[in-house]
Amino acid sequence: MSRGGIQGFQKDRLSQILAARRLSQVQLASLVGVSPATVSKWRAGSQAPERDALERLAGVVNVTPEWFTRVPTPSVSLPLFRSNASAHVAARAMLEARLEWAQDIAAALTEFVDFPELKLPIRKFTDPEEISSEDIEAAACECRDLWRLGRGTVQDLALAVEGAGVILIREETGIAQIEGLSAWSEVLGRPMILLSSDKDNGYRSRFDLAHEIGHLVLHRHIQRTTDRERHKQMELQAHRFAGAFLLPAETFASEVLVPPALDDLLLLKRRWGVSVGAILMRLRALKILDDDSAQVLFKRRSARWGAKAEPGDGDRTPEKPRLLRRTIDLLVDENVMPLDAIPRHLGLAAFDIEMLAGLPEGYFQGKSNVVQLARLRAPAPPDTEEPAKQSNTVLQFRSPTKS
Amino acid sequence: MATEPKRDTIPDLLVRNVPREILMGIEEALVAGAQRAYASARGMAEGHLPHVVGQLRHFHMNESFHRALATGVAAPSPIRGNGIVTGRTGVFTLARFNIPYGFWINGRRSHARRQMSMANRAIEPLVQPELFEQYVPPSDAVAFFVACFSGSLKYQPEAPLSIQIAVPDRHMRGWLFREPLNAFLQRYETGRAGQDDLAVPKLKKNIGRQGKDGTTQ
Repeated sequence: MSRGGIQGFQKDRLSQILAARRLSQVQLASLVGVSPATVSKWRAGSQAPERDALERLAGVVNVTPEWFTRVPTPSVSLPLFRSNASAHVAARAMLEARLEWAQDIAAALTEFVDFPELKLPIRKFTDPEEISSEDIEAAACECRDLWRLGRGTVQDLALAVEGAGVILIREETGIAQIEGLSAWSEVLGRPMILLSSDKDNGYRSRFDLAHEIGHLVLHRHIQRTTDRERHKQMELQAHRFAGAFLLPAETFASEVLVPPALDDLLLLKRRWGVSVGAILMRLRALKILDDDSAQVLFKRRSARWGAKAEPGDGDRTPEKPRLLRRTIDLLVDENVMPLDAIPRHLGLAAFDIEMLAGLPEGYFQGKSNVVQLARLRAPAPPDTEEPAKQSNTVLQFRSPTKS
Repeated sequence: MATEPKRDTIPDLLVRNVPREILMGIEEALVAGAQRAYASARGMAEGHLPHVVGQLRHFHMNESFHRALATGVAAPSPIRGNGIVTGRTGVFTLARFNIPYGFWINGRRSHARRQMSMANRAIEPLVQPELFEQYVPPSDAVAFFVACFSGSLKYQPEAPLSIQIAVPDRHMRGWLFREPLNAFLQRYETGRAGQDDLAVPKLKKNIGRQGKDGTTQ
């Protein structure tokens, strides 16, 4: 390290923030007011920024200066992306960085709390070729059994996923093409899923979530690949898993009238929380529809509703993660940590923590409002007994005054 | 113990005692039996064709019902003469009969069925609470699978219009519970009304609360 540079500057943090903020070195340099070569040196680790440069840098990218000295936690396993297109390189790097931040938050919170026990079926496939459709159906059933969901409709998948110990993040990413990603975190000993909320479609989001669970269960031990065919195969397998998980053969098949009309499927969509398109794919996977009749239905679907939206897409509000939010609420309620100390403890901007933990905007500022609401709700359940008690005290109170 | 059975209902009792698999088997068996009966009556003289079909339905559906019960390990009674086949799962004795769609008239014609229905006295309090007797969980009850046909060979003669699961009162004059089988099958999954909320973080044991001055209390 050279003259004046601050001690313990972590170059990987700089790379991480460049990815997370989608900035290039040149852009960052001009924002901080140094030459691009300097940023490049910081990034390579041959030079560390001086104190005032670090403060400017931290101010520009909205983290605490001290954050740059934190040793990065080991990265999550390489996530699987829906789209491997080279156009999305920067977007993928951004999402990975966001996922790592979420990992940092979760890891920092595990100092204080235990998250629910991890419950996922264990599969040891090393090659997607090994996985048959029966394996996928069995894995989906096992998953439902582990989560005690029976074979009926899943009311809130996000709740079930978090209850099974998976860390779930849902935030607006600005990249609608990448619906979600998932990875295993060694630090946490549990997987993480990041969903994009850009499309704001509850049905899509549920299916995306089930899709990511498919990846986590089926493809945990499979090496990441750039081979297109292989990637496509894994995507199809995750899709099949999502269908099998959300629409179990035993119960779903008995509810389908054959041959189905699109309007029948709309009713099923509402009941099962799965889009007509995904229902059609599932019916084909179960061989209830052959390729030709599925094609006819897909054609009618496009002709009636267009290719993008379906009727009733807005019926279901997207499911929201709650585990991280509840954890932060818990820390504040139990006075483990004051509200305003949490962003400082995590080193990230309050805004980023709010996004990643699914907290309402301005949560760390508008402290009193949020806490008061929570207090008001808490005494609601015993409310029914309250009036009885009150009337008792009124009677007792009167009698002594009369006598 | 006194309050628990009161909340019980007949469909819940059925769901607990009769596996879904058996019901699905029976549903299929009754349709298949009716199809076989109609197919084997082909070519008979018009004059007695409805009677032939009706009688053949009884035998064919008895046979397929017997097989469905046997595969479902529901201890079917042997096929003998004109008699009806009965099976048993849990506390329920299962039997079947056919009637024309609409007003249910034929159920009481069989002596054996009337005899069986007496057992349902034990579950009547679930629908109509007794004044002097308390409901105790039954050890014996009866449910029928009723295949309703159109009553005419001109309209869907090869299959029942609907198959219902029906629980008679003790005299078989009314029905304590009646529902189309395919609707009843959905009860097996809707039984679980809520989803458990397990997404709850737990504070670690050694984490103390902090007072306002930041010290651990």
